[in-house]
Amino acid sequence: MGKKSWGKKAAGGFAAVMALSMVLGGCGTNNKQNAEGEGGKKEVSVSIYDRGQIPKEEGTYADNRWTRWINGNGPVNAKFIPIPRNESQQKYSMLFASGDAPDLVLEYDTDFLNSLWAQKQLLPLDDLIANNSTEYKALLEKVPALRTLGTKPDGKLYLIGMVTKPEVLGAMVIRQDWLDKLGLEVPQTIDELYAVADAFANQDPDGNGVKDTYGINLSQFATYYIDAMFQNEMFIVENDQLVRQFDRIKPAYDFKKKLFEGGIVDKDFLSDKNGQKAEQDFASGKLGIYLAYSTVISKNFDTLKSTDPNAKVTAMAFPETQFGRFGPDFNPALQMTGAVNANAKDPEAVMQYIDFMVTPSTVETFAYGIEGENYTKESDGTFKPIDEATNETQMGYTNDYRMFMPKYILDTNTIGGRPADSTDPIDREWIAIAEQMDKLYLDPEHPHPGFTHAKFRPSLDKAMTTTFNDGWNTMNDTMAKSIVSGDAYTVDQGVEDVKKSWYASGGQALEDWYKQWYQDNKDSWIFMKELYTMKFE
Amino acid sequence: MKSTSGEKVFYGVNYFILVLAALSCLLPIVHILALSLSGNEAITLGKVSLWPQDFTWTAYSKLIEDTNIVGAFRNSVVITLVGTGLNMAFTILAAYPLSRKHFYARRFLTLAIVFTMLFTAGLIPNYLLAKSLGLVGNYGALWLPGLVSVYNLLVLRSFFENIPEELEDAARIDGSGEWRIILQIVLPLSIPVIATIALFYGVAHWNSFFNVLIYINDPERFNLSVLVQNMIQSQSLMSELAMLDPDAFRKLAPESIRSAGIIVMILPMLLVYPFLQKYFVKGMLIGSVKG
Repeated sequence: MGKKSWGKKAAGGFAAVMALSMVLGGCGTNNKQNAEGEGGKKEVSVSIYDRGQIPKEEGTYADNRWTRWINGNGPVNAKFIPIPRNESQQKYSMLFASGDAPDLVLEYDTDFLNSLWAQKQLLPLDDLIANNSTEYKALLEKVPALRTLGTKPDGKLYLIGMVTKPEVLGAMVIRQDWLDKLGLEVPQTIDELYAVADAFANQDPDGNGVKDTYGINLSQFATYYIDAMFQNEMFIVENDQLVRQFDRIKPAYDFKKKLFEGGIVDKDFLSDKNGQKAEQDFASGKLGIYLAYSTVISKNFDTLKSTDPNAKVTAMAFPETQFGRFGPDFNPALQMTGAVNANAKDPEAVMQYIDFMVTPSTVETFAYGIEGENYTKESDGTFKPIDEATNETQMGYTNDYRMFMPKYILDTNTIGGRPADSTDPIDREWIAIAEQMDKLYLDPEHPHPGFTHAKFRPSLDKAMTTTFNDGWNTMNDTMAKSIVSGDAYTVDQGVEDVKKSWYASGGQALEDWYKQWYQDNKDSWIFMKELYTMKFE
Repeated sequence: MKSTSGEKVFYGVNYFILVLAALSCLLPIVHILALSLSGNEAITLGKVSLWPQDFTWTAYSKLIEDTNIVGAFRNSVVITLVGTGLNMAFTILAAYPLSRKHFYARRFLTLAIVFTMLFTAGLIPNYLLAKSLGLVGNYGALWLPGLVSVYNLLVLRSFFENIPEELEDAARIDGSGEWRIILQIVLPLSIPVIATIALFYGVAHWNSFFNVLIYINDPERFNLSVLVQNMIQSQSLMSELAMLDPDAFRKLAPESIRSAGIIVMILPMLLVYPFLQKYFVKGMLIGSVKG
């Protein structure tokens, strides 16, 4: 008897484990099947970034009040495929390889979309839009640049994009109270910038008798902003030619090296890769001139005001150098954000989805919410939120559904990320700074250097992309070494090495290609200045 | 017994180095724990090192309210418990017959199994296989493809081989069959190695990240690694993509919440390890002496 009962028990145990795994394994697929086929609408699948930050009571990125709203009000049934934000490209590659990729692929990285195009995974949209679209077609007519930027070298349109208002991204702020205390002016030239930064670091602007302040930061993007002041971009337009320049590297790095050796910047700036140390320095009132994203400055501005209520901050223009006067990086009005899978089962239905999402009423719903639930309409036509906190919970995660929506049609009720009608004194102070930034940094007279915005460089083949990226990385790594090495490795040596490695890794071919491309496209492409002056109304 | 001064110095240096090594593992965890219990402003100002400043539990309550961490925790537990259970069941069932000398074709089968260690298919073939088996989208894709790890199988097999055959003979004379022998004789004698291997499998399942990312599409079914990774990686991603994806920055979870996520993620393993440690050392050792 013993033998048999053991066998039975063990077998029973395994059966239970297997059955459990079946049950647990099976339920996901069943749920999905039930969700399909509501109301007999056509099915499309759409990617959606999963950032892991949707409030629990709202559901998931694949199923929440907004996905239900889309399916309830839209012409098609959209099935949302969550794509983990940080591994989006791996996930997409996997889905494409196995034929499971969504019909509509939304991705911010245009290089990745280009690589999908190169692998023939994308559907040309020209005929589809001509025959089946109304809304997106109208948008293309209104904003022809969307077509220019979405067209690939084979002359067909593949990408869809969004249209916003241009926004400040990078910024440069200075401690006005320190300037006042030391009797200095906001620096206008690069030499004045050095003098002021030096004074901030060495003349004890916070008055605590200890040398514990920094003049300026060089961490994270700050080093690129100083490059921008010297027009130190890889490719610039000179004498109507698109050239790879090397003569701006030296002045830019001489300046950085001088800052480093003068003890004006944090000696450990190279290890502050994500800029956190600089954030702390600024927030605790130890940093005089701060170069960072305006959103980062805004966040730390609040902390600064609570550590030191008397702190006063002003936005400043990039100082002038021998190469002219430039501006920080900004968010241009256009961005290509999506494409249609070449194997989409029903491209017409995908187009219907795109059209529905770019319809002004949909755009408004996704910006302000549902009338009576999230906002009320004032008599002057403006939208008044009913409860900010509820809206944050219910709508804080909707941005990724809006990736290709024309947001320029919306009236914004925030300035610099804060409610325009806020009565909080710190908000008011920041709003004044943000308005100043808009004026300084969205000025076509002082554009960001480079022939066009990084998002709109022409697509390169794989080898040339490698050359480009290696050239960029080598330049930054080699030159960073020259900042911190004193006489052991001078800036001149650095520039020599940068040049050498550029030509050793196929730089000449890329230069020739770019030169030719510029001659062929200089009348049709979107260049930097145009990005500042574009108007859609 | 008295130790010479040379020995004292030797032990002193040893302890010093080992303490340093231990601290280098411990301090980051203490720092993360402190961050998770501190106010945001203190964190921004860089005041938090090893002791929480402005002590608060908000990060944890926010984590529970605002993210699906409870569900993810439950999923991690299911993945780990069921996965480890299946792994152990099948590894034992494979290792036991291979360890019996009277088992037919045992050499050939062992070789055939070892042979599979030489090759692994790439990611995409694996995915296509899982898809054709209908495993994509459910945890089967996490449990079945790696059901038996050959390495663990071999460790277990050599352990079983070391159990004296006389015990088995005695049991057989008393009338027990194969099931009773394995369950009542072999397994109780193998607890150290069973615990060790279960821990190997368990940790792998608990930390399983990439497979969940690739095979599971329903966010309700993500585990802790994916959820926490989603929160913490935004920071490193930011420097490259913030320009292309401004939202990545705006929606960045505060550092305290990210730290709380990390703590929730590592805590269960921290709690399990001490209880299994005594087996762990023994199991590793015994498996390794005779191959």
